Amino acid sequence: MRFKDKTYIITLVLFLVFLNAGIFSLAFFTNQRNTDAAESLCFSEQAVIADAFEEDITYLGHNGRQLLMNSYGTHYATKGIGLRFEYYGELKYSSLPEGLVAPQAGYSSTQRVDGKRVFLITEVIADGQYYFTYAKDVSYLDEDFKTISVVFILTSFGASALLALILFLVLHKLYSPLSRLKNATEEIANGNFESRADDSGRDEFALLAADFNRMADRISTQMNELELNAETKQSMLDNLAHEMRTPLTSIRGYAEYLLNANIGEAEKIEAIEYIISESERLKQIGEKLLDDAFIRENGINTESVNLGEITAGAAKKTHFNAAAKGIDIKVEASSVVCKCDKLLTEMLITNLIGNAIKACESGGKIYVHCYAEGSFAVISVRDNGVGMTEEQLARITEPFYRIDKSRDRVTGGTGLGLALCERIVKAHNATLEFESALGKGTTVTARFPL
Amino acid sequence: MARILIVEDERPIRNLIQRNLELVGHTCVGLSDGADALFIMQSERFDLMIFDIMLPGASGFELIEKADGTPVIFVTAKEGINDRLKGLSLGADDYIVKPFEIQELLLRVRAVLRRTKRDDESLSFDDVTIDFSAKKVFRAGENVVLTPKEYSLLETLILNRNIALSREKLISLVWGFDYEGDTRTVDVHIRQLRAKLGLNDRLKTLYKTGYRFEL
Repeated sequence: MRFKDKTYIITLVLFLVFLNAGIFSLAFFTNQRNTDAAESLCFSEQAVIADAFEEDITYLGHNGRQLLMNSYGTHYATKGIGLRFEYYGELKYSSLPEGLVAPQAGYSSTQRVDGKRVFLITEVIADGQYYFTYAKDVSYLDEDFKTISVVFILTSFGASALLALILFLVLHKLYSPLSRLKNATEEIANGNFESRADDSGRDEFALLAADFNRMADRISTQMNELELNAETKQSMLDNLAHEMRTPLTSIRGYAEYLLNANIGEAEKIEAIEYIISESERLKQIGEKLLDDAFIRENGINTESVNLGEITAGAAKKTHFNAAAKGIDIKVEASSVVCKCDKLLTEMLITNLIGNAIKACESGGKIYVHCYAEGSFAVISVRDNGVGMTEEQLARITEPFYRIDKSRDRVTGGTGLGLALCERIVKAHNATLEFESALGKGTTVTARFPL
Repeated sequence: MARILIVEDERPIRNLIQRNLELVGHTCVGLSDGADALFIMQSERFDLMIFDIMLPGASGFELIEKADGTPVIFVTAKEGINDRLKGLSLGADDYIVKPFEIQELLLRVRAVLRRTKRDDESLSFDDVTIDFSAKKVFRAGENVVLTPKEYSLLETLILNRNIALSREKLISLVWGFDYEGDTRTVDVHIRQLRAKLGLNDRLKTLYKTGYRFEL
């Protein structure tokens, strides 16, 4: 059973019990008062009759007693009062209705006969000569009690129904924030993580709703992060599968071609060249992935090194490739000592220069700088090659993303180089910035904290 | 044979497809850029077009919309069921996922060409003429009677001309995967074909490899 219903039922039951107990005790009390009033009226009436009778009997003497009793009886019978007289234990007169028994002398009693309620009083009068019994029909008390009961029962029902309704409405109003909170939790439980509770107001429910919302925010943020993470991993895997599949298809295809096809020497050599270049591509992918995994698993091995020297060394290594394409590399490296992993920074710079070489046509120029600026050691590689669009720029560090869309791979590359650079830079708490304009060239700047 | 447009941005793959299709007698145009393909499709007619999906210039999905009734086969590394469904719902005649075997590609190309009736009705060499639609073979104008398996073997060898087929491959292509007979069955049928059609020079036995019909 819901908390609201429990509260409702318990409150209602308690309230009704007390209300009705109140109403009925009031009814009882009222009835008692009426009865008492009626009885005291009877006592005084009886006293008046008794006094009058005593006076009259003294005046008349005993000879007229029978006449007196008769006339008293007749007179009071018209007023609904029955009288009974005993003279020395002998019944002399009775106008009491049938079935009534006179109480003992000095007592009073209430008796019922034929659906009538009669109040009787017996008293000794005239110095003990007479037993005088007075009987008055007080049935109106029963009638009154019935009327009162009906009124009170109706009041009780009416009040109970009204109370039940008002209590329901009040509780409903009070609990509505809780219901809304419950609905919100159900929504979230059903997987709708964007659902939030209404936290307007200042009561505990509003505070609870606000806390709940904060919790939901937190959870949905983390869920989104997880999802994004999983998506990135999945897309990385998909890409990896694609990247491995393509060279494998070629290698296998050309091997079959060599084995089965009726072809000349030139075609054979071409097929073999493809097999070699595609194997090389697979090897490069494997190596880059291994490097990446190595940095991820082992972190970096920092020592104080002269970045200027490393830059100059890396530029020298790429010089041959550049010269073969007719590209000129200019290096200006001042001596900057900084804590970093020597091998990895060299890999970073080699990769950046390699990209610059790919971007340049024959006759292109590449400027490599290394200098200290504020609290950073800065390495920048600038080329005057093809440049990139903003869209390309935003994606270049994604694994397997290649600017050279044609993937004809005249320029080679695995699409992993900059992803690796990004990894190296992050491991050093350094930053990597790209600036590029289509047709004008690209500048890549790495900043290492000194 | 058929004239085929190949649009694939991986040069090694494109060349591989092109070389093999040319070996079995088709003529090919190979392109790496989708935009170039759209341009050439406006002015030239092809019997079949083979597209990669992820292409620079214009994607394979864009290209197929301009195919104008020419059969299309997608060759792609995208193996997701959604890509497959999208490719086929756009009207592609077939969908091949990398890595694929050349043999499979040739079979599917042949199937599409046959289905769309863009295949050759007949082929003649030396004094032999083969009528593919009637499944009949003539030598010097005379009808040569071949058993169904002999004809099927001859057709398979000719459709894969210049490419060696192993005995196992021939068994699976001609007799079916569930054939439990000896691979020497192939040798017997080959001997029959050579004798009936005088194919000693054309139908070569290759050491350790199998048989190759050279044309």
